Amino acid sequence: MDFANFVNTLIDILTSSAIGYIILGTVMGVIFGAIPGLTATLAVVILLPFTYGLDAVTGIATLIGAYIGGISGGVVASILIGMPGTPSSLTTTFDGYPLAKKGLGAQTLAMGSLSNLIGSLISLVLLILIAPQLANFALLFTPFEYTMVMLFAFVMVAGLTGDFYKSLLMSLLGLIIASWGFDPINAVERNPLGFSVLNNGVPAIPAMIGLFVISRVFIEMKDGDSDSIIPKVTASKILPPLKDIKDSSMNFFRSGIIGSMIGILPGIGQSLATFVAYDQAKKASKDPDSFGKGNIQGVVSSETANNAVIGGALIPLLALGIPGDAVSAILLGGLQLQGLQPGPLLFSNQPDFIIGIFVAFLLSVLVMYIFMVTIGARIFPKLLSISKWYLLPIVIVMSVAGSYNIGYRVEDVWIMLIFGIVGYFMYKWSFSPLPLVITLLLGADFEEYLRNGLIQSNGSIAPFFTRPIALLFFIFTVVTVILIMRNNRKKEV
Amino acid sequence: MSRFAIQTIMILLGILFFFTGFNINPNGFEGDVLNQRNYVLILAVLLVLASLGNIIYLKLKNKDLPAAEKEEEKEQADESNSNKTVYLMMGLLVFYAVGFTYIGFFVTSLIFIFTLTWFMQQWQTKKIFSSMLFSVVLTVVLFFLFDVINVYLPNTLLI
Repeated sequence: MDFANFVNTLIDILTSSAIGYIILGTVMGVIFGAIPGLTATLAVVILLPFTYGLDAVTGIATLIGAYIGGISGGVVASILIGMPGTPSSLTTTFDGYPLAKKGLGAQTLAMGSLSNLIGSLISLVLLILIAPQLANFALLFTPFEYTMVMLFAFVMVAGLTGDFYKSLLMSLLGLIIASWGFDPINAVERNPLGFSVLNNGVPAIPAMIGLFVISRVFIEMKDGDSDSIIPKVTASKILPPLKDIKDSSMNFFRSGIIGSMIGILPGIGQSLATFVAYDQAKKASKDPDSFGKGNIQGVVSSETANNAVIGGALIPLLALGIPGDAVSAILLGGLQLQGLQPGPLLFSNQPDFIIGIFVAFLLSVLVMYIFMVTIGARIFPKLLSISKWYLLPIVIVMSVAGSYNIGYRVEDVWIMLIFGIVGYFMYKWSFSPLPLVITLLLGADFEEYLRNGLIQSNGSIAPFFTRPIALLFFIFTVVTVILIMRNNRKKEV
Repeated sequence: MSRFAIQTIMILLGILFFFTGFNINPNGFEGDVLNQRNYVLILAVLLVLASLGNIIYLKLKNKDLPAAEKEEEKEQADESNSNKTVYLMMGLLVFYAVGFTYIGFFVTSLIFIFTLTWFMQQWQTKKIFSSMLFSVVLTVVLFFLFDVINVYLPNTLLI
């Protein structure tokens, strides 16, 4: 890519109305991401019709701003009230919330935003330098590889929670629940219990809102002795100390690469990347036992990876025309609305547009960071430390409206409510909801890839263990199980 | 709450899913290897086996536990006594979901927010006005906010 063109495009955007649209999209995304129930997807959907009258670069830049803002905004509710605003911020709650409980909400938020910035920049560099090559790497993944990657993810997430065996039960239950609805191969209806609310299956996002947001509302109601969820904060010192940044440098790099590489895998990147990055940060730490109790490195790994996924997800979208997740699919719609067809030819036929996208990505990331450090990290902790008598009703109302707006189905609100109750009892009986969520998010894909793989191999399971990448992930899975069991035994001793 | 309550529930669920799994139509295209019914049946069997395995594992582990830890576990189990506040909250949420489905989002939200806010303040008479004011203001703000940001709501009897 020509650097002079990059600088010229940067100047063009900064001196036109495009920068205003980028700021609008990014800030709106941050606010949507920060509110449990509202998601980055919803922010992009809402902005999509407004981009029709704009030129191609400005229109897509607005949507990318909302995407980056939405994913980054998830850090706010995850840290400050322990309720993840977006699925990609689930792992942020593990350490961010305990830190906020100690009165470090604003500082943790600033560190989370810095992680967002660095994660995005790492993925942007990869996007600029090797997008077509990385996209081709993603094409090496067949159903056999996908199946083994997801199996690895299920085992790894089960290992992240307190009790591996209990979590395995939850994973199996999650896989059964994820199978409800229409099966992915023959489109046969599967509603074995016969409840009409389950006709279309259990969508993962409302279930996740129930398990993590509504159940937390119940928990807060039960522990009704304090007035606010987090202590009142005095946000005098926001920026993280240089020592913390220096200590996190390896974590930034590792999580950024993990997020970008996993992000290029269509369909599974967003959910998987943060778990893998968190797991790796925990394994690399000198004090792994402090993870889950308020270790800032947990926040760094999670937030770096979830933003790195954005650049990763744009790689197959722009280079191959394959949308990796819901937001990418809407972005694809946005590109087509502008008369553009993503794919290998886009890079050669529309180089100015591609450079425009890269510049817009960079500016959105910077806008997000500046907004979070100057306004967000000061305002959000104060807003969310209001009395919970007022905060909890707002959270519930937004969760109900947000769940409905995911698929415009009343059933989704009921699913959210049911999983909220289930999540509360899981908390009471010390069962982590994480394995259930990851299997709900990836279960349908897992079934599809497993069954497609078996069809391709005429029923033989050998390719799942003999193809190089699939074998590699099988080895990762076995090693992870051995490590978890050894760790458990050590703790028991 | 028994120590093995969840595992027992899982076993029962596994059995339920196994037998109801036979309701699933197994027909599909000719080359299909693992059909939609067998996939569910296999998972149900795995769930039952894993739950049984977990119970056996915990029983063996419990033999080696010091008395103090056993006592702690017992206390944890006893702690799961019914919590009226939470159950009432769950009831309120069910009402909210029903109202959202049939009556209307804003009307139900107004009632729900008022009831919840006042309830969380232990039905204190002096807090009734602030609860009412908060519910009205929040509902009005939501009405205009949702209009601006195009948040859709179901068609119901009222707004």
